[in-house]
Amino acid sequence: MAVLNAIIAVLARINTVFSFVGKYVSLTLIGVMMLLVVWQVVLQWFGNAPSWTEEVSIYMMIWITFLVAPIAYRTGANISIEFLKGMVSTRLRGVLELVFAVLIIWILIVLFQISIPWVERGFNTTARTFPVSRGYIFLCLPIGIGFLILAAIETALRGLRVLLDASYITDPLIQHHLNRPESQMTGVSVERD
Amino acid sequence: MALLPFYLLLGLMIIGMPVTFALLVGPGIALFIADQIGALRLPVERLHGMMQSFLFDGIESFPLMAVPFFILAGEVMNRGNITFNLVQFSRSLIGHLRGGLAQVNVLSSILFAGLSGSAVADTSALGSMLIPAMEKNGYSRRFAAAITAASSVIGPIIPPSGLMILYAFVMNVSVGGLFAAGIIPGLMVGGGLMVMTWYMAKKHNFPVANRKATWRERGRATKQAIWPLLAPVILLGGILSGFFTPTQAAAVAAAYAFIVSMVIMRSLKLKDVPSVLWSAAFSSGVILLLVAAARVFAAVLAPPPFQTAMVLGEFVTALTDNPLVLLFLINILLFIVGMFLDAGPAILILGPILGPAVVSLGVDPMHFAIVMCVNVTVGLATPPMGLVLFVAASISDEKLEAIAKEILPFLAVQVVVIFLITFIPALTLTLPRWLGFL
Repeated sequence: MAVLNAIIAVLARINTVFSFVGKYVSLTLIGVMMLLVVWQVVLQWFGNAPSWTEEVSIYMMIWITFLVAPIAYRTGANISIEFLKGMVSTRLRGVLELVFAVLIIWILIVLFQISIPWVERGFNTTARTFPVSRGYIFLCLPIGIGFLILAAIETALRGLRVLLDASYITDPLIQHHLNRPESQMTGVSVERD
Repeated sequence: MALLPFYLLLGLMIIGMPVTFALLVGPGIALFIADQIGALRLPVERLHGMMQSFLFDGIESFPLMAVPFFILAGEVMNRGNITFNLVQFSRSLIGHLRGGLAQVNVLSSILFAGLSGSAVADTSALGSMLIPAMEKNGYSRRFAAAITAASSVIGPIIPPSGLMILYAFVMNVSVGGLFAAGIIPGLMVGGGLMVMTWYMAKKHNFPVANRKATWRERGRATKQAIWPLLAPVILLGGILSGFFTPTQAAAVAAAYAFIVSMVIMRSLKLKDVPSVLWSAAFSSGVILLLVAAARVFAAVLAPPPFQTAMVLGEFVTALTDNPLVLLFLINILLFIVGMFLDAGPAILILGPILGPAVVSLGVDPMHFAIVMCVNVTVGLATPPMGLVLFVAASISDEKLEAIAKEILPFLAVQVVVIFLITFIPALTLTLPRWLGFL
């Protein structure tokens, strides 16, 4: 248990730092994205909208997607069907979540490995409308998937800890996962850290 | 073999794996099995590479960007209390009727739907204000929560609509056209709910909210609500006239909401802006990853050995060659799916399978899009797993089962509307035709 606690503590530290950075980068990106497209509309009105605004804002959107992914995973915000899960015991549910985590980590590792040479190839090309190597743009994938893997491992180990010692059920991250539906989806203004 | 990935996806989703990851793990396992038995014609690494690059390419789209912008616009309007003025406006118009606040709830949802494309945003914004007010006025809390949840369904039907953007994106239909097509069905749902409320108000002697407002008071309420009321005019006017694309309109809507709530109404403080942006970025990220995963799923399973969508499509068309019968069956399927699965994933997974099959029987793609969108949206308010029911339950602090019981008469109205728009295509197609989208 001591080893498990130590590993969780290390992972939690890494993931918390990523969550903090990811949060502020992505909230800035969505704001800038909005301004860019509004700027495009204004210029279009005067007849000469630059083409780069469109491409840059698309890449910002993709970066947001992959920066948010690990944070959303940790807080259990991804949509799932809760019907069957709600009917089984907490213990069985914990086992299920562990099985899911193993499968998810497996496919993410497969995708992560492939994303590295893909990024390397990206460095040989530049974006269509602005002079930046596509490698930098593609970096969001290994970063997002990499931290997604770490978030999945942390969550899985926390779940394992609850299975080994039920008193850990008060773990706030586990509670997040247990109370999913309310915090799910668009528009609900819950603070997420 | 063809259906293996689909069964895997279905199995994983039903036992509760998050849909986004089930869409990746399902094909992952299917590829593994196919590789083991030597059924793959390409090296498995190539197909894994395709999965990986589709995570990026699958969402590299400007039209799709309307989704985060509309989420942002909704978030700003929610936090900036713009909803309050809409409710006051509705109240000055119809608050004096029997069952006034229940009617105000529906009318506010119709007005709110022109600003926001999300049923959840509608429930949380209107519910937190109107449920306590209705309870104070003498309604039961469960009824107040039920009418809030039922009327919030109008949000994604009347444009703008996040769901329709997703459908347009995966199925290559015009967003502007879908927006135009959604207006009449949305008003029908709203009108239907108001008629049902009127009937119930008479039967159960619902309270009256306030005395009849004078024209002067109405004028004042209109003046205060004029900025949010103008938003849909600018948005839809701009999109439908072709002045800007839906994505540009969505960005303008978000900027407009910021200006109205920060500068004109001063209800949103500068220090609240980061948390508003973060909420929007977060919700957008969750949805966009789901879209990316759905695109990966579709891309991997289109070529041999799987050809899943094609085989499923053939299965669907083999059921009957009468489009009306097929639409009827699909409505029942979607209604059941909607009870358990959220609207976004339902559109992303089932749209590409059902759409082509139905269109091949001669149904207009835009007509089918609206039938599907309305159906899965109504699913959001359908027990046992409707998402807006959960939100309404958590806002009202009332049991989900209690709200589920109260919502049944309103669901009945919505089912009637679904069948009307299914069997009378003119209800959806007339407006897009007038506006030149068809």
